[in-house]
Amino acid sequence: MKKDKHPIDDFFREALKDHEVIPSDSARADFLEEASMYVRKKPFLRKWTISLSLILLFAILGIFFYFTFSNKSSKAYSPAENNPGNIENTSTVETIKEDGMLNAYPKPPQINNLSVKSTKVFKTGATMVDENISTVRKNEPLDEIIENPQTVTEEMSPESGLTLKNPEIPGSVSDSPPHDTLSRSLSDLQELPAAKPDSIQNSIHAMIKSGVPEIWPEREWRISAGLYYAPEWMFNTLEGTKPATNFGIEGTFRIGPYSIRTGAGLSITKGTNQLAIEYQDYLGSYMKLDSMTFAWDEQHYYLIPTYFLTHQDVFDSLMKLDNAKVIKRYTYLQIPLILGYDFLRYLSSTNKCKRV
Amino acid sequence: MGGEVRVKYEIESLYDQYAPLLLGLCKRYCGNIEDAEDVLHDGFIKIIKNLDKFQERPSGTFIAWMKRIMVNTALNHIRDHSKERNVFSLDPYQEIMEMPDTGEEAPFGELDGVFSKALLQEMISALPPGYRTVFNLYVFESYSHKDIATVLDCSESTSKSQLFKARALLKKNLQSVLNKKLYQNEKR
Repeated sequence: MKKDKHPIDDFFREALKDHEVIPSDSARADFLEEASMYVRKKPFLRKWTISLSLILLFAILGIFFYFTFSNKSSKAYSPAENNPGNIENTSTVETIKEDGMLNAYPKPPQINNLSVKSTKVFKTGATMVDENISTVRKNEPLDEIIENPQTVTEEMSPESGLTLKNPEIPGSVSDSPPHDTLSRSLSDLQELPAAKPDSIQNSIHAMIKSGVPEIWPEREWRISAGLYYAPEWMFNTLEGTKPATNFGIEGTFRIGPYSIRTGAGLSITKGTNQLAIEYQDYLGSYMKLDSMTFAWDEQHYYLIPTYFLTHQDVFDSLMKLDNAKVIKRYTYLQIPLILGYDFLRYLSSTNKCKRV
Repeated sequence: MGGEVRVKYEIESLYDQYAPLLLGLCKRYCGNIEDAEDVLHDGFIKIIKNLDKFQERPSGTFIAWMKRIMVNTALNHIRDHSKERNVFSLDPYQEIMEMPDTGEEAPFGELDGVFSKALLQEMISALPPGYRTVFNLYVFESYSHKDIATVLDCSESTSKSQLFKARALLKKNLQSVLNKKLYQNEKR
């Protein structure tokens, strides 16, 4: 649209183009005071950064400790021992310490060689070992023996008094109490045909790969706790992408295949409300005269008026439109309660039991 | 803590650098220095809050961006106070006949130096609010009548009539001041 030029317009535009008015000191001071309040609000962001960093730190520490202690516990316990029913027969060894070391106990009764007579290893769902003739050196961790084929030789010594009860399987998970049935009578095993060392190796590795099945003991319970941080992005047509921050702490109580998970968390996000309000300004009110009557006072020769009034509000005739945009921060407290049942684990355990 | 001090210092220097220019703009819209300082205050707070949103652009755009914020703040202020000040007191449906503006009778371009900036500012400030707002938007912000009608929620013809009357009033004031000066000069 072409604008009409006028000399007055040009004159004032040129004259007042860079016109400056120095603000008063009080106005300056007021502004700087309010601006400083705004500046002080910024640490709020820092607080969030610190909170998130702490949560991340705790999460990392939690993962670290979890793996550290879970590795130790898997070394200390032998799952197969916890379920004697799973193992029909095992290799024979005289003494095995809980740390997985073969040891001469109490004082070495001249056990330099560990002889495995003949074994049949039945593990639920695992490969059956037909024959086994192996020697395990003293003070050698079973883990190494399992992983190092050289530790198993074909030296067979039927006279050896050692009974390898249950070669430990690294990485296996068990929560049952430690083994007290480490030794099993040699006589039970002597009748069994011997297995080849290679087949023992293969079968143990196969067991490791397939995982050691576990049947839930009657009473087993665990409690675990953790922190979580879950960023979330919502997509909607009005506001586009909107981030939400979720974090909190939760704990899980497991008993057998059942579990209860609960905790407390916070979810924080921002939302925008926009309102378009059309209104007329309220200008005031007055008492509107509806009618009036007069009564004649004969004594005083006077008309007595009676006014009938109603209350009237007055609004501006000019309609106004206001657009209000309100940014709100939403904080949700989340208290989850999740009841669980471990179908897969339980079913796989029972299937393996059935196969055996 | 050091960052906070630095930010405060930056805000202070920003205010010192641009506040006089922006206060001149606010005073053109508001008519009096008190309201102008209120608008400057609110506008500057908006600027500070939205500094992050202002993306780096070629130099010169920043001042335009600040001016735009000030103008919007001033318009909001005028709207908010329109009830008591009767800003748009003119009948919005009043239409006047468009009079041809020849511009022949007032060679104002030759009057530079005769009128001080403060005096010209006062002349604009002395205009009725409706005239003043339309005149400012049209002359200084280069708004079209259609834009002004949208912003002020009035008809285009109302905007035109108010601009016409503002010009007429300003011309009258200029001429009276000029006549006074001429008279004083003759007297000497």
